[in-house]
Amino acid sequence: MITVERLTYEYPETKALDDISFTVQEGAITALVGPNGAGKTTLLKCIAGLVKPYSGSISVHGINVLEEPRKSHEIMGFLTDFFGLYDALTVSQSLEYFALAQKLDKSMVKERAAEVAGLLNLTDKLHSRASSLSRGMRQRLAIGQAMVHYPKVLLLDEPSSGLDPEARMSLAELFLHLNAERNMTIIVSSHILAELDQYAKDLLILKNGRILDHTAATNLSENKRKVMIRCDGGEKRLAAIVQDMETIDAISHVSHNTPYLCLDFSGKDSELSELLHSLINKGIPVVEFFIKREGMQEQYLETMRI
Amino acid sequence: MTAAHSAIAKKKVENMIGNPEFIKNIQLQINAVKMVLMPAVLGMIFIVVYLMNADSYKPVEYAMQVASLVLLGVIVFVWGTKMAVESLAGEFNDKTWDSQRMTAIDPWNLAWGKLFGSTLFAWYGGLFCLLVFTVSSFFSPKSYRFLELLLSILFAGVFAQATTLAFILTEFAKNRDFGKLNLSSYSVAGIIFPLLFFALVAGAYDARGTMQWYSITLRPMEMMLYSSVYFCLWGVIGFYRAMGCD
Repeated sequence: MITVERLTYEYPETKALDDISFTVQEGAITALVGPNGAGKTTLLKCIAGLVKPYSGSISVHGINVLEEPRKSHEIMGFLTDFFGLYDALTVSQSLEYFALAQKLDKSMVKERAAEVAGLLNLTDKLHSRASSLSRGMRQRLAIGQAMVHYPKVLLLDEPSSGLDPEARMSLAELFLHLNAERNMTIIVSSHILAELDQYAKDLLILKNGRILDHTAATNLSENKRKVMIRCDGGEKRLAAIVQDMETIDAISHVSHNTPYLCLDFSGKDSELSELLHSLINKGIPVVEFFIKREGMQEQYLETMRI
Repeated sequence: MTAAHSAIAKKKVENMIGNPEFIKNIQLQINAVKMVLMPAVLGMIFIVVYLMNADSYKPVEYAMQVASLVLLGVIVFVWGTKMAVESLAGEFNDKTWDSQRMTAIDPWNLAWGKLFGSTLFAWYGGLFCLLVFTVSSFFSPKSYRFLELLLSILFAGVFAQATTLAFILTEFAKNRDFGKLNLSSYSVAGIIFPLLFFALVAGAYDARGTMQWYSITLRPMEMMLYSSVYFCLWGVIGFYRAMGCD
Protein backbone atom coordinates (compact mmCIF):
# COMPACT_ATOMS: atom_id res chain seq x y z
CA MET A 1 0.00 0.00 0.00
CA ILE A 2 1.21 3.51 -0.81
CA THR A 3 0.20 6.34 1.50
CA VAL A 4 1.01 9.93 0.64
CA GLU A 5 0.15 12.58 3.19
CA ARG A 6 0.18 16.35 2.76
CA LEU A 7 2.96 16.26 0.21
CA THR A 8 4.32 19.58 -1.00
CA TYR A 9 7.19 20.04 -3.42
CA GLU A 10 8.44 23.37 -4.65
CA TYR A 11 10.71 24.36 -7.51
CA PRO A 12 12.25 27.82 -7.30
CA GLU A 13 9.27 29.51 -8.97
CA THR A 14 6.55 26.86 -8.94
CA LYS A 15 4.73 24.69 -6.47
CA ALA A 16 4.86 21.34 -8.27
CA LEU A 17 2.85 19.49 -5.59
CA ASP A 18 0.49 21.38 -3.36
CA ASP A 19 -0.42 19.60 -0.12
CA ILE A 20 -1.66 16.39 -1.71
CA SER A 21 -2.77 13.24 0.10
CA PHE A 22 -3.96 9.92 -1.26
CA THR A 23 -3.72 6.18 -0.77
CA VAL A 24 -3.12 3.49 -3.36
CA GLN A 25 -4.25 0.05 -2.30
CA GLU A 26 -1.96 -2.96 -2.62
CA GLY A 27 -2.42 -4.64 -5.99
CA ALA A 28 -3.93 -1.61 -7.68
CA ILE A 29 -2.99 -0.37 -11.13
CA THR A 30 -3.33 3.38 -10.93
CA ALA A 31 -3.33 5.67 -13.93
CA LEU A 32 -1.70 8.98 -13.08
CA VAL A 33 -2.95 11.57 -15.54
CA GLY A 34 -2.99 15.31 -15.94
CA PRO A 35 -1.84 18.05 -18.28
CA ASN A 36 1.84 18.80 -18.81
CA GLY A 37 3.31 20.44 -15.73
CA ALA A 38 0.63 19.00 -13.45
CA GLY A 39 3.27 17.46 -11.17
CA LYS A 40 3.06 13.82 -12.26
CA THR A 41 6.79 13.25 -12.71
CA THR A 42 7.61 15.09 -9.49
CA LEU A 43 5.08 12.98 -7.61
CA LEU A 44 6.55 9.74 -8.97
CA LYS A 45 10.08 10.88 -8.12
CA CYS A 46 8.97 11.73 -4.58
CA ILE A 47 7.35 8.30 -4.14
CA ALA A 48 10.54 6.70 -5.50
CA GLY A 49 12.58 8.64 -2.96
CA LEU A 50 14.67 10.32 -5.66
CA VAL A 51 13.76 13.85 -4.63
CA LYS A 52 12.97 15.18 -1.18
CA PRO A 53 9.72 17.07 -0.82
CA TYR A 54 9.41 20.35 1.07
CA SER A 55 6.93 18.72 3.47
CA GLY A 56 4.69 15.70 3.87
CA SER A 57 5.22 11.98 4.23
CA ILE A 58 5.29 8.94 1.95
CA SER A 59 4.97 5.36 3.08
CA VAL A 60 5.36 2.35 0.77
CA HIS A 61 4.47 -1.00 2.30
CA GLY A 62 5.16 0.42 5.73
CA ILE A 63 8.56 1.87 4.82
CA ASN A 64 8.99 5.60 5.32
CA VAL A 65 10.47 6.55 1.95
CA LEU A 66 11.87 9.88 3.12
CA GLU A 67 13.70 8.32 6.04
CA GLU A 68 14.75 5.02 4.46
CA PRO A 69 14.92 5.60 0.69
CA ARG A 70 17.47 2.83 0.11
CA LYS A 71 15.36 0.27 1.93
CA SER A 72 12.31 1.32 -0.04
CA HIS A 73 14.23 0.87 -3.31
CA GLU A 74 14.46 -2.87 -2.62
CA ILE A 75 10.70 -3.14 -3.08
CA MET A 76 10.30 -0.52 -5.77
CA GLY A 77 11.08 -0.18 -9.44
CA PHE A 78 10.97 3.11 -11.32
CA LEU A 79 11.17 3.97 -14.99
CA THR A 80 11.80 7.68 -15.48
CA ASP A 81 10.37 9.56 -18.45
CA PHE A 82 13.83 10.44 -19.81
CA PHE A 83 15.75 7.26 -19.16
CA GLY A 84 19.18 6.20 -20.31
CA LEU A 85 20.78 2.84 -21.02
CA TYR A 86 24.34 1.58 -20.91
CA ASP A 87 24.82 1.46 -24.65
CA ALA A 88 27.96 -0.68 -24.54
CA LEU A 89 26.26 -3.43 -22.51
CA THR A 90 24.18 -6.18 -24.07
CA VAL A 91 20.54 -6.68 -23.11
CA SER A 92 21.57 -9.66 -21.00
CA GLN A 93 24.38 -7.75 -19.24
CA SER A 94 22.08 -4.80 -18.54
CA LEU A 95 19.38 -6.97 -16.98
CA GLU A 96 21.94 -8.99 -15.02
CA TYR A 97 23.55 -5.81 -13.70
CA PHE A 98 20.24 -4.49 -12.35
CA ALA A 99 19.32 -7.91 -10.98
CA LEU A 100 22.61 -8.06 -9.05
CA ALA A 101 22.28 -4.43 -8.02
CA GLN A 102 18.88 -5.24 -6.54
CA LYS A 103 20.50 -7.99 -4.47
CA LEU A 104 19.04 -10.96 -6.30
CA ASP A 105 20.76 -14.22 -5.50
CA LYS A 106 23.67 -14.76 -7.91
CA SER A 107 22.42 -18.21 -8.86
CA MET A 108 19.11 -16.70 -10.04
CA VAL A 109 20.46 -13.76 -12.00
CA LYS A 110 20.93 -15.31 -15.46
CA GLU A 111 17.64 -17.15 -15.27
CA ARG A 112 15.80 -13.99 -14.18
CA ALA A 113 17.36 -11.90 -16.93
CA ALA A 114 16.21 -14.45 -19.51
CA GLU A 115 12.74 -14.61 -17.94
CA VAL A 116 12.28 -10.83 -17.98
CA ALA A 117 13.63 -10.61 -21.54
CA GLY A 118 10.99 -13.19 -22.46
CA LEU A 119 8.21 -11.16 -20.84
CA LEU A 120 9.32 -8.13 -22.86
CA ASN A 121 9.82 -10.01 -26.14
CA LEU A 122 13.54 -9.34 -26.08
CA THR A 123 14.76 -12.94 -25.97
CA ASP A 124 16.28 -12.85 -29.45
CA LYS A 125 18.09 -9.62 -28.56
CA LEU A 126 19.70 -10.90 -25.35
CA HIS A 127 23.20 -10.67 -26.83
CA SER A 128 22.69 -7.44 -28.75
CA ARG A 129 24.17 -4.22 -27.43
CA ALA A 130 21.68 -1.66 -26.13
CA SER A 131 23.03 0.82 -28.70
CA SER A 132 21.79 -1.40 -31.53
CA LEU A 133 18.20 -1.58 -30.27
CA SER A 134 15.30 0.32 -31.79
CA ARG A 135 13.46 3.04 -29.80
CA GLY A 136 10.74 0.61 -28.78
CA MET A 137 13.19 -2.11 -27.76
CA ARG A 138 15.18 0.38 -25.69
CA GLN A 139 11.96 1.36 -23.94
CA ARG A 140 11.22 -2.29 -23.20
CA LEU A 141 14.74 -2.89 -21.91
CA ALA A 142 14.39 0.10 -19.59
CA ILE A 143 11.13 -1.34 -18.26
CA GLY A 144 12.88 -4.68 -17.81
CA GLN A 145 15.65 -3.05 -15.80
CA ALA A 146 13.08 -1.41 -13.53
CA MET A 147 11.18 -4.64 -12.87
CA VAL A 148 13.92 -7.30 -13.01
CA HIS A 149 13.70 -7.81 -9.24
CA TYR A 150 9.88 -8.10 -9.39
CA PRO A 151 9.30 -5.20 -7.03
CA LYS A 152 6.14 -4.88 -4.97
CA VAL A 153 5.62 -1.41 -6.40
CA LEU A 154 6.37 -0.42 -9.98
CA LEU A 155 6.36 3.26 -10.94
CA LEU A 156 6.35 4.05 -14.65
CA ASP A 157 6.57 7.49 -16.15
CA GLU A 158 5.36 7.48 -19.76
CA PRO A 159 6.33 3.84 -20.32
CA SER A 160 4.77 3.51 -23.74
CA SER A 161 6.03 6.63 -25.47
CA GLY A 162 7.80 5.55 -28.62
CA LEU A 163 6.19 2.13 -28.74
CA ASP A 164 4.19 0.90 -31.71
CA PRO A 165 0.55 -0.20 -31.17
CA GLU A 166 1.51 -3.89 -30.99
CA ALA A 167 4.17 -3.24 -28.38
CA ARG A 168 1.73 -1.08 -26.41
CA MET A 169 -0.76 -3.88 -26.41
CA SER A 170 1.83 -6.37 -25.16
CA LEU A 171 2.89 -3.86 -22.50
CA ALA A 172 -0.69 -3.64 -21.28
CA GLU A 173 -0.78 -7.44 -21.12
CA LEU A 174 2.50 -7.44 -19.21
CA PHE A 175 1.17 -5.01 -16.59
CA LEU A 176 -1.97 -7.08 -16.14
CA HIS A 177 0.17 -10.23 -15.87
CA LEU A 178 2.50 -8.71 -13.26
CA ASN A 179 -0.48 -7.40 -11.35
CA ALA A 180 -2.38 -10.69 -11.42
CA GLU A 181 0.54 -13.09 -10.90
CA ARG A 182 2.63 -11.08 -8.46
CA ASN A 183 0.07 -8.72 -6.98
CA MET A 184 2.36 -5.89 -8.08
CA THR A 185 1.09 -2.39 -7.33
CA ILE A 186 1.62 -0.28 -10.43
CA ILE A 187 1.37 3.47 -10.94
CA VAL A 188 1.55 4.53 -14.57
CA SER A 189 1.76 8.09 -15.77
CA SER A 190 0.70 8.52 -19.37
CA HIS A 191 -1.10 10.83 -21.76
CA ILE A 192 -2.47 7.94 -23.80
CA LEU A 193 -5.75 7.45 -21.93
CA ALA A 194 -7.19 4.83 -24.26
CA GLU A 195 -4.24 2.64 -23.44
CA LEU A 196 -4.51 3.21 -19.68
CA ASP A 197 -8.13 2.18 -20.03
CA GLN A 198 -6.99 -1.33 -20.90
CA TYR A 199 -5.38 -2.06 -17.57
CA ALA A 200 -5.78 0.72 -15.00
CA LYS A 201 -8.10 0.10 -12.09
CA ASP A 202 -7.81 3.54 -10.50
CA LEU A 203 -7.56 6.99 -11.90
CA LEU A 204 -5.60 9.75 -10.19
CA ILE A 205 -5.98 13.12 -11.88
CA LEU A 206 -3.51 15.90 -11.10
CA LYS A 207 -3.69 19.53 -12.14
CA ASN A 208 -1.45 22.35 -10.97
CA GLY A 209 0.01 20.11 -8.30
CA ARG A 210 -3.37 19.23 -6.79
CA ILE A 211 -5.50 16.13 -6.98
CA LEU A 212 -8.65 16.77 -8.98
CA ASP A 213 -9.99 13.26 -8.71
CA HIS A 214 -8.99 9.87 -7.38
CA THR A 215 -11.53 7.23 -8.21
CA ALA A 216 -11.76 3.62 -9.07
CA ALA A 217 -12.04 3.74 -12.86
CA THR A 218 -14.30 0.69 -12.98
CA ASN A 219 -16.73 2.04 -10.39
CA LEU A 220 -17.56 5.11 -12.38
CA SER A 221 -18.30 3.22 -15.55
CA GLU A 222 -20.53 0.79 -13.67
CA ASN A 223 -22.48 3.49 -11.85
CA LYS A 224 -23.07 5.74 -14.78
CA ARG A 225 -23.51 4.44 -18.29
CA LYS A 226 -24.23 6.24 -21.51
CA VAL A 227 -26.97 4.50 -23.45
CA MET A 228 -27.16 5.34 -27.15
CA ILE A 229 -30.40 4.80 -29.06
CA ARG A 230 -31.12 5.31 -32.76
CA CYS A 231 -34.57 4.85 -34.16
CA ASP A 232 -36.05 4.90 -37.62
CA GLY A 233 -38.20 8.00 -38.11
CA GLY A 234 -36.04 11.02 -37.46
CA GLU A 235 -36.34 14.03 -35.20
CA LYS A 236 -40.07 13.94 -34.44
CA ARG A 237 -39.90 10.47 -33.08
CA LEU A 238 -36.81 11.29 -31.09
CA ALA A 239 -38.52 14.33 -29.52
CA ALA A 240 -41.39 12.16 -28.40
CA ILE A 241 -39.02 9.64 -26.94
CA VAL A 242 -37.13 12.31 -25.04
CA GLN A 243 -40.30 13.51 -23.34
CA ASP A 244 -41.06 9.96 -22.19
CA MET A 245 -37.52 9.27 -21.11
CA GLU A 246 -37.23 12.22 -18.74
CA THR A 247 -39.79 10.67 -16.44
CA ILE A 248 -37.68 7.58 -15.78
CA ASP A 249 -35.72 7.77 -12.52
CA ALA A 250 -32.64 5.88 -13.71
CA ILE A 251 -32.10 8.43 -16.46
CA SER A 252 -30.45 11.58 -15.19
CA HIS A 253 -29.87 13.38 -18.43
CA VAL A 254 -31.09 13.11 -22.00
CA SER A 255 -29.31 14.68 -24.95
CA HIS A 256 -29.23 14.53 -28.73
CA ASN A 257 -26.14 13.45 -30.53
CA THR A 258 -27.57 13.13 -34.04
CA PRO A 259 -28.59 10.54 -35.11
CA TYR A 260 -28.48 9.15 -31.57
CA LEU A 261 -30.44 9.81 -28.44
CA CYS A 262 -27.98 9.79 -25.57
CA LEU A 263 -29.09 8.83 -22.03
CA ASP A 264 -27.07 9.08 -18.82
CA PHE A 265 -28.27 5.87 -17.21
CA SER A 266 -27.57 4.89 -13.62
CA GLY A 267 -29.92 1.92 -13.28
CA LYS A 268 -29.24 -1.81 -13.15
CA ASP A 269 -29.01 -4.17 -16.10
CA SER A 270 -32.58 -5.37 -15.50
CA GLU A 271 -33.85 -1.78 -15.74
CA LEU A 272 -31.92 -1.32 -18.94
CA SER A 273 -33.55 -4.44 -20.34
CA GLU A 274 -36.95 -3.10 -19.31
CA LEU A 275 -36.22 0.18 -21.04
CA LEU A 276 -35.51 -1.56 -24.35
CA HIS A 277 -38.57 -3.75 -23.87
CA SER A 278 -40.83 -0.75 -23.25
CA LEU A 279 -39.51 1.09 -26.31
CA ILE A 280 -40.29 -1.87 -28.53
CA ASN A 281 -43.69 -2.35 -26.88
CA LYS A 282 -44.50 1.28 -27.67
CA GLY A 283 -43.84 0.51 -31.29
CA ILE A 284 -40.72 2.64 -31.54
CA PRO A 285 -38.60 1.30 -34.39
CA VAL A 286 -35.31 0.93 -32.53
CA VAL A 287 -32.47 0.42 -34.99
CA GLU A 288 -29.55 0.65 -32.55
CA PHE A 289 -29.42 0.33 -28.77
CA PHE A 290 -25.98 0.15 -27.13
CA ILE A 291 -23.90 1.29 -24.20
CA LYS A 292 -21.13 3.69 -25.05
CA ARG A 293 -18.47 2.81 -22.57
CA GLU A 294 -17.46 5.74 -20.38
CA GLY A 295 -13.74 5.33 -20.70
CA MET A 296 -10.91 6.99 -18.88
CA GLN A 297 -10.71 9.62 -21.58
CA GLU A 298 -14.31 10.79 -21.01
CA GLN A 299 -13.84 10.58 -17.26
CA TYR A 300 -10.66 12.65 -17.48
CA LEU A 301 -12.10 15.27 -19.80
CA GLU A 302 -15.21 15.60 -17.67
CA THR A 303 -13.11 16.11 -14.53
CA MET A 304 -10.89 18.65 -16.26
CA ARG A 305 -13.96 20.64 -17.32
CA ILE A 306 -15.16 21.04 -13.72
CA MET B 1 38.05 -16.36 14.96
CA THR B 2 34.70 -18.11 15.27
CA ALA B 3 32.88 -19.85 12.44
CA ALA B 4 30.35 -17.00 12.40
CA HIS B 5 33.12 -14.43 12.03
CA SER B 6 34.75 -16.31 9.18
CA ALA B 7 31.38 -16.72 7.47
CA ILE B 8 30.79 -12.95 7.70
CA ALA B 9 34.31 -12.26 6.41
CA LYS B 10 33.79 -14.71 3.54
CA LYS B 11 30.48 -13.05 2.67
CA LYS B 12 32.17 -9.62 2.68
CA VAL B 13 34.91 -10.81 0.35
CA GLU B 14 32.31 -12.40 -1.95
CA ASN B 15 30.34 -9.15 -1.97
CA MET B 16 33.45 -7.17 -2.84
CA ILE B 17 34.40 -9.46 -5.70
CA GLY B 18 30.81 -9.63 -6.91
CA ASN B 19 30.20 -5.87 -6.65
CA PRO B 20 27.80 -5.32 -9.58
CA GLU B 21 29.05 -1.79 -10.12
CA PHE B 22 32.62 -3.05 -10.47
CA ILE B 23 31.53 -5.86 -12.79
CA LYS B 24 29.52 -3.43 -14.91
CA ASN B 25 32.54 -1.17 -15.26
CA ILE B 26 34.72 -4.10 -16.31
CA GLN B 27 32.16 -4.94 -19.00
CA LEU B 28 32.02 -1.31 -20.13
CA GLN B 29 35.77 -0.67 -20.12
CA ILE B 30 37.54 -3.84 -21.06
CA ASN B 31 37.65 -5.55 -24.42
CA ALA B 32 40.22 -7.74 -26.14
CA VAL B 33 41.51 -5.01 -28.47
CA LYS B 34 42.14 -2.57 -25.62
CA MET B 35 43.77 -5.28 -23.53
CA VAL B 36 46.29 -5.93 -26.30
CA LEU B 37 46.72 -2.33 -27.38
CA MET B 38 47.73 -0.97 -23.97
CA PRO B 39 50.83 -3.18 -23.40
CA ALA B 40 51.74 -2.83 -27.09
CA VAL B 41 51.81 0.99 -26.96
CA LEU B 42 53.54 1.11 -23.58
CA GLY B 43 56.01 -1.54 -24.74
CA MET B 44 56.95 0.57 -27.76
CA ILE B 45 57.47 3.66 -25.59
CA PHE B 46 59.73 1.71 -23.22
CA ILE B 47 61.71 0.24 -26.12
CA VAL B 48 62.29 3.74 -27.49
CA VAL B 49 63.42 4.95 -24.06
CA TYR B 50 65.76 1.97 -23.75
CA LEU B 51 67.30 2.48 -27.20
CA MET B 52 67.75 6.22 -26.62
CA ASN B 53 69.57 5.61 -23.35
CA ALA B 54 71.50 2.45 -24.17
CA ASP B 55 74.68 4.37 -24.95
CA SER B 56 74.16 7.11 -22.39
CA TYR B 57 76.68 7.73 -19.61
CA LYS B 58 73.87 7.23 -17.12
CA PRO B 59 72.73 3.63 -16.49
CA VAL B 60 69.83 2.64 -18.70
CA GLU B 61 67.97 1.21 -15.66
CA TYR B 62 67.78 4.73 -14.27
CA ALA B 63 66.15 6.03 -17.45
CA MET B 64 63.71 3.13 -17.43
CA GLN B 65 62.78 3.79 -13.80
CA VAL B 66 62.14 7.48 -14.48
CA ALA B 67 60.20 6.74 -17.68
CA SER B 68 58.00 4.17 -15.93
CA LEU B 69 57.24 6.61 -13.10
CA VAL B 70 56.44 9.49 -15.47
CA LEU B 71 54.17 7.25 -17.54
CA LEU B 72 52.55 5.92 -14.38
CA GLY B 73 51.91 9.49 -13.24
CA VAL B 74 50.40 10.49 -16.57
CA ILE B 75 48.23 7.36 -16.76
CA VAL B 76 47.00 7.48 -13.16
CA PHE B 77 46.56 11.24 -12.80
CA VAL B 78 45.58 12.51 -16.23
CA TRP B 79 43.95 9.52 -17.85
CA GLY B 80 42.57 7.91 -14.69
CA THR B 81 40.92 11.14 -13.56
CA LYS B 82 39.53 11.72 -17.04
CA MET B 83 38.05 8.21 -17.09
CA ALA B 84 36.52 8.67 -13.64
CA VAL B 85 34.98 12.00 -14.69
CA GLU B 86 33.56 10.55 -17.90
CA SER B 87 32.11 7.59 -16.07
CA LEU B 88 30.30 9.44 -13.28
CA ALA B 89 29.34 12.62 -15.13
CA GLY B 90 28.36 10.36 -18.03
CA GLU B 91 25.82 8.63 -15.76
CA PHE B 92 24.24 12.03 -15.13
CA ASN B 93 24.37 13.25 -18.73
CA ASP B 94 23.17 9.92 -20.18
CA LYS B 95 20.25 9.74 -17.71
CA THR B 96 21.31 6.49 -16.07
CA TRP B 97 22.01 8.02 -12.67
CA ASP B 98 18.42 7.85 -11.39
CA SER B 99 18.15 4.17 -12.25
CA GLN B 100 21.40 3.64 -10.31
CA ARG B 101 20.00 5.51 -7.34
CA MET B 102 17.00 3.18 -7.42
CA THR B 103 19.20 0.12 -6.90
CA ALA B 104 19.92 -1.46 -3.54
CA ILE B 105 23.72 -1.13 -3.85
CA ASP B 106 25.01 0.55 -0.70
CA PRO B 107 27.04 3.78 -0.97
CA TRP B 108 30.35 2.10 -0.11
CA ASN B 109 30.07 -0.57 -2.80
CA LEU B 110 28.86 2.01 -5.31
CA ALA B 111 31.75 4.32 -4.37
CA TRP B 112 34.59 1.82 -4.66
CA GLY B 113 32.96 0.12 -7.63
CA LYS B 114 33.01 3.44 -9.46
CA LEU B 115 36.38 4.63 -8.17
CA PHE B 116 38.31 1.54 -9.20
CA GLY B 117 35.91 0.22 -11.84
CA SER B 118 35.77 3.34 -13.98
CA THR B 119 39.56 3.73 -13.84
CA LEU B 120 40.33 0.05 -14.25
CA PHE B 121 41.84 0.40 -17.72
CA ALA B 122 44.13 3.18 -16.50
CA TRP B 123 45.28 0.94 -13.63
CA TYR B 124 45.82 -1.86 -16.15
CA GLY B 125 48.26 0.45 -17.95
CA GLY B 126 49.74 1.46 -14.61
CA LEU B 127 50.41 -2.20 -13.87
CA PHE B 128 52.74 -2.44 -16.87
CA CYS B 129 54.59 0.67 -15.72
CA LEU B 130 54.96 -0.94 -12.31
CA LEU B 131 56.29 -4.08 -13.95
CA VAL B 132 58.93 -2.14 -15.88
CA PHE B 133 59.83 -0.19 -12.73
CA THR B 134 60.23 -3.42 -10.74
CA VAL B 135 62.37 -5.12 -13.39
CA SER B 136 64.58 -2.00 -13.78
CA SER B 137 64.96 -1.77 -10.01
CA PHE B 138 66.49 -5.26 -9.91
CA PHE B 139 69.40 -3.97 -11.96
CA SER B 140 69.71 -0.66 -10.20
CA PRO B 141 71.98 -0.30 -7.17
CA LYS B 142 69.84 2.47 -5.65
CA SER B 143 66.39 1.13 -6.41
CA TYR B 144 64.95 2.23 -3.07
CA ARG B 145 65.34 5.93 -3.99
CA PHE B 146 62.18 5.96 -6.13
CA LEU B 147 60.05 3.67 -3.99
CA GLU B 148 58.57 6.51 -1.95
CA LEU B 149 57.81 8.43 -5.14
CA LEU B 150 56.15 5.39 -6.68
CA LEU B 151 53.90 4.86 -3.67
CA SER B 152 53.15 8.59 -3.48
CA ILE B 153 52.02 8.58 -7.12
CA LEU B 154 49.68 5.64 -6.45
CA PHE B 155 48.07 7.18 -3.36
CA ALA B 156 47.93 10.72 -4.75
CA GLY B 157 46.42 9.32 -7.96
CA VAL B 158 43.58 7.70 -6.03
CA PHE B 159 43.17 10.97 -4.09
CA ALA B 160 42.87 12.96 -7.35
CA GLN B 161 40.29 10.56 -8.76
CA ALA B 162 38.23 10.28 -5.55
CA THR B 163 38.19 14.03 -4.93
CA THR B 164 37.11 14.79 -8.48
CA LEU B 165 34.32 12.20 -8.22
CA ALA B 166 33.16 13.65 -4.90
CA PHE B 167 33.10 17.11 -6.45
CA ILE B 168 30.99 15.85 -9.37
CA LEU B 169 28.53 14.28 -6.96
CA THR B 170 28.01 17.58 -5.18
CA GLU B 171 27.40 19.15 -8.61
CA PHE B 172 24.70 16.53 -9.31
CA ALA B 173 22.57 17.91 -6.52
CA LYS B 174 22.82 21.45 -7.90
CA ASN B 175 22.10 20.45 -11.50
CA ARG B 176 19.46 17.81 -10.80
CA ASP B 177 16.78 19.51 -12.85
CA PHE B 178 18.87 21.41 -15.33
CA GLY B 179 20.97 20.50 -18.32
CA LYS B 180 24.16 18.52 -18.53
CA LEU B 181 27.49 18.59 -16.78
CA ASN B 182 30.47 19.84 -18.75
CA LEU B 183 32.94 16.94 -18.74
CA SER B 184 35.99 18.89 -19.85
CA SER B 185 35.78 21.32 -16.94
CA TYR B 186 36.09 18.43 -14.49
CA SER B 187 38.79 16.67 -16.50
CA VAL B 188 40.99 19.72 -15.89
CA ALA B 189 41.42 18.30 -12.39
CA GLY B 190 43.48 15.54 -14.01
CA ILE B 191 45.99 18.19 -15.10
CA ILE B 192 45.93 20.43 -12.01
CA PHE B 193 46.49 17.59 -9.53
CA PRO B 194 49.67 16.18 -11.15
CA LEU B 195 51.10 19.70 -11.66
CA LEU B 196 50.71 20.40 -7.95
CA PHE B 197 51.92 16.94 -7.03
CA PHE B 198 55.07 16.98 -9.15
CA ALA B 199 55.86 20.55 -8.06
CA LEU B 200 55.82 19.28 -4.48
CA VAL B 201 57.88 16.22 -5.46
CA ALA B 202 60.50 18.43 -7.15
CA GLY B 203 60.66 20.53 -3.99
CA ALA B 204 61.00 17.46 -1.84
CA TYR B 205 63.89 16.08 -3.93
CA ASP B 206 65.72 19.41 -3.91
CA ALA B 207 65.34 19.86 -0.21
CA ARG B 208 68.24 18.83 1.95
CA GLY B 209 68.03 17.64 5.53
CA THR B 210 64.93 16.66 7.43
CA MET B 211 61.55 18.12 8.37
CA GLN B 212 59.98 18.42 11.76
CA TRP B 213 56.30 17.66 12.07
CA TYR B 214 55.42 18.13 15.74
CA SER B 215 57.74 15.64 17.44
CA ILE B 216 58.26 13.50 14.34
CA THR B 217 61.35 13.93 12.16
CA LEU B 218 60.81 13.09 8.52
CA ARG B 219 62.69 13.31 5.24
CA PRO B 220 60.79 15.43 2.65
CA MET B 221 59.91 12.39 0.51
CA GLU B 222 58.71 10.53 3.58
CA MET B 223 56.47 13.49 4.36
CA MET B 224 55.27 13.41 0.76
CA LEU B 225 54.37 9.74 1.01
CA TYR B 226 52.57 10.00 4.35
CA SER B 227 50.67 13.07 3.15
CA SER B 228 49.60 11.22 0.00
CA VAL B 229 48.31 8.29 2.08
CA TYR B 230 46.48 10.68 4.40
CA PHE B 231 44.91 12.68 1.57
CA CYS B 232 44.02 9.49 -0.28
CA LEU B 233 42.17 8.21 2.76
CA TRP B 234 40.21 11.42 3.18
CA GLY B 235 39.52 11.62 -0.55
CA VAL B 236 37.99 8.14 -0.55
CA ILE B 237 35.99 8.84 2.64
CA GLY B 238 34.77 12.12 1.12
CA PHE B 239 33.63 10.37 -2.05
CA TYR B 240 31.92 7.65 -0.05
CA ARG B 241 30.08 10.21 2.10
CA ALA B 242 29.07 12.25 -0.96
CA MET B 243 27.71 9.04 -2.49
CA GLY B 244 25.75 8.31 0.68
CA CYS B 245 24.22 11.80 0.64
CA ASP B 246 22.98 11.45 -2.93
